[in-house]
Amino acid sequence: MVLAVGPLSGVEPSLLSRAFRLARASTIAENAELEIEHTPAVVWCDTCGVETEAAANALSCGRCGAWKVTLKAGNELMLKRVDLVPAEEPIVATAG
Amino acid sequence: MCEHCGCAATPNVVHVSDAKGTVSAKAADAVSVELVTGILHENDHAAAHNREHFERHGVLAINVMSSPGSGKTSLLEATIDAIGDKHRIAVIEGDLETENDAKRIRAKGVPAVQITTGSACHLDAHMVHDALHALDLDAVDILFIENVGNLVCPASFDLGQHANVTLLAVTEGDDKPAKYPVMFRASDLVLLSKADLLDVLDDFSPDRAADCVRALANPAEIVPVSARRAETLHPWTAWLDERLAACRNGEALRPRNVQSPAGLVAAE
Ligand SMILES: [Zn+2]
Repeated sequence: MVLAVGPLSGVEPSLLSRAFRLARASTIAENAELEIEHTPAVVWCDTCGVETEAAANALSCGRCGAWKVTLKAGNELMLKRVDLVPAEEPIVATAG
Repeated sequence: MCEHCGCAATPNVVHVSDAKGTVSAKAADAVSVELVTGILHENDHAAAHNREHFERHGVLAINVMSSPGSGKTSLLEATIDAIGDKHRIAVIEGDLETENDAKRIRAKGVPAVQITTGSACHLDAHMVHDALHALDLDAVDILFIENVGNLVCPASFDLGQHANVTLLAVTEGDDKPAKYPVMFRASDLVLLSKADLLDVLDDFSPDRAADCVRALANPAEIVPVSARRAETLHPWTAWLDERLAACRNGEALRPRNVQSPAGLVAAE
């Protein structure tokens, strides 16, 4: 499964990966792999209308330095994709 | 072939039936399910439910956050003294252990529900929902939710509140907003608490604190207050009055971190 994690999500990707390895143990998902995409913080400047990447605690416009910007990306904690691979032996799925 | 979308899934692939995204084949023996689902969806759903409760009863809900010892409970006591005769107040207290804070609030004649989180370092929407059952929301104008003292995790969990208020005590560093950007980016109002001590502290600059908040692209007002000086509370209580009036007017008030889910915008 693929997660997108931004620097303003409040989640530390390395800790999440470690917790995932513990959480998957002895479950139906024990072979599941977690892939984390680190998305950068991106701001859109209200003044000059351009998008720039920014640091989590310095979100001002990378071009003109104005602080009136809109965050376009960087606070996401998003499940983007799940790749389902069939088991060697067919699994009988039960709903719910 | 998959009957949902015609992809090349083999019959032994378990299909995710409620996926909102498109389903496509990655390889002959695997399916890729594009989801773009917020991991905190479960909490967000409960938060939206809480918000419906608040709005149905005309209750303004304020999430009060800060590091431990910044004076959240003292500020709420002083706020009750200041506006308790004008507005009906209730408080939900979040702490790891003890009923102490709830007792302090009840001593002011205001209903208070204590949530003891055990070792959990923040409140979530489900805990708040459970606490709401102990309150008569028809008898409440303003509900303060005093979060666990912590500048990290509380910022990531929507509780259903209308606004986030963060206290930064002037005994702390004025660069705390730069150190805890997720929290201070989420703040709709920053209160510089214990401001009566500014005269004797030469290392806290309200301007530097404000610069750090602006660097997070946050236009929030930054207001010095002191629980020991009733006259300093006026901008804070006026801010509350404004929001209560807006809430009663049916305006959909949302905290900053809820009104702009940037991840969704970016994923479109
Ligand atoms: Zn600019």
